[in-house]
Amino acid sequence: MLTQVTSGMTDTNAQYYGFKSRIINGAMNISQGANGASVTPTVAGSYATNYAVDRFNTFATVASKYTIQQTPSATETGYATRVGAGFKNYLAVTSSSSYSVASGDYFLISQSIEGFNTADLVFGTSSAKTVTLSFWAYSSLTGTFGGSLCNSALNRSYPFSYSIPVANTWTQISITIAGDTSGTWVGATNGAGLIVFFNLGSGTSQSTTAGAWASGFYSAPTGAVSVVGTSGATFYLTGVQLEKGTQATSFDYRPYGTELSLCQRYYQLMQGINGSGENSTNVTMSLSYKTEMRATPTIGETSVAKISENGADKTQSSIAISTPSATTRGALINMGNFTGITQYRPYFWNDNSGSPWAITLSAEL
Amino acid sequence: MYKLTKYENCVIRTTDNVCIPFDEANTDYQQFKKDIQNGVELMDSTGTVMTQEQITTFLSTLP
Repeated sequence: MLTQVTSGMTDTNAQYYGFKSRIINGAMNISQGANGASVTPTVAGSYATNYAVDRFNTFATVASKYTIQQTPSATETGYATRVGAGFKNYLAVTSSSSYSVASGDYFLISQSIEGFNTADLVFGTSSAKTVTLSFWAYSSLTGTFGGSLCNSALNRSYPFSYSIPVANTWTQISITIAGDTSGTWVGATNGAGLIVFFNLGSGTSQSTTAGAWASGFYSAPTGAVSVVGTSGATFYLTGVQLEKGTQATSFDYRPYGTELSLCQRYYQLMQGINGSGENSTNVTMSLSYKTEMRATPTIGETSVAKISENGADKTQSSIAISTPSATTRGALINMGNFTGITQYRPYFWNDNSGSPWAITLSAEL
Repeated sequence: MYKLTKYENCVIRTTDNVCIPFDEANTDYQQFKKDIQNGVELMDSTGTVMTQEQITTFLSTLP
């Protein structure tokens, strides 16, 4: 599928074709876990505390310094520019306090790109390919912002900087980065092939000169704007794309269902499952995932389970789930804390409430 | 805090009651191993807090 090429671009490089972006959910349209709700990140948190939109994680050395949310307002100042560029959604960061970052602090939004999707960039070799990162950014602050590209071991970093010259105005950014010819980079595996970080505030030991590969972990260029340093400050992001080549090309719009399926390799919700009673308190149910997952997933519940037995509902008193067996393709789960379950009797997922419960499967990077 | 289950392939993270598989590619599992090596409490399947010696032995059985 050919995509529209920006006027004046004459390169015949394959970067202009569809599926060129290594970023998944770059338009921030998918929010399976948070479902649009505000999330307050924790340190080393869970999927529920660190993801407002699919595939974009957040890392913080101190908890609760900002919130993240998918598109809290559709009519933010200057929204017409975003909408005109074709983006309905964005990822919003709002600072919760005026925090002075310590030397070792970092506050970041990131996406880890799976090795299977970066192996052709052959980073860590003399043939390393040049990549271009492009995105739309917006902030209540102005100045030099930044981020970095890193390997999975976090011992190779390329800090980059960009300018947001006018507050509350969507600005399109493009950064071209020569591939790293050094270091150890994950190849065609299900590990993290490349990590893209967007900085919200990093200490001096986490920052270094922009525009060059460095040994060690650096999340930001020296002197970058600290979003967490101003209470109420905002930083918005959308249209994130990382592609092979020296130029940013038009955004790689993919069908919603396709983008959702790409996300479901890393996180998915399951409903409509069935099983049978194990004893008076437990049921077992089988799961066949919507798509094969990156790794055997962490399995949880969005709320207590509600199941049906010949039309009579049974509800867990509290969440209790474990897995007798699980792979990247499916699982047998065991849920407890019911009462009145009959052994071997069939039980069915049944929840007509406004927020029906679901099984959560997370295999994020 | 974490709690083992009667199954030998996963552990429960008690803060949100999710079941984490013993899969080296699972990032929650990677964090679990770091946590218990750093002293976060681990309970056996009956709810008894494991001693450091028991945890060390258990760790040696993990992938």
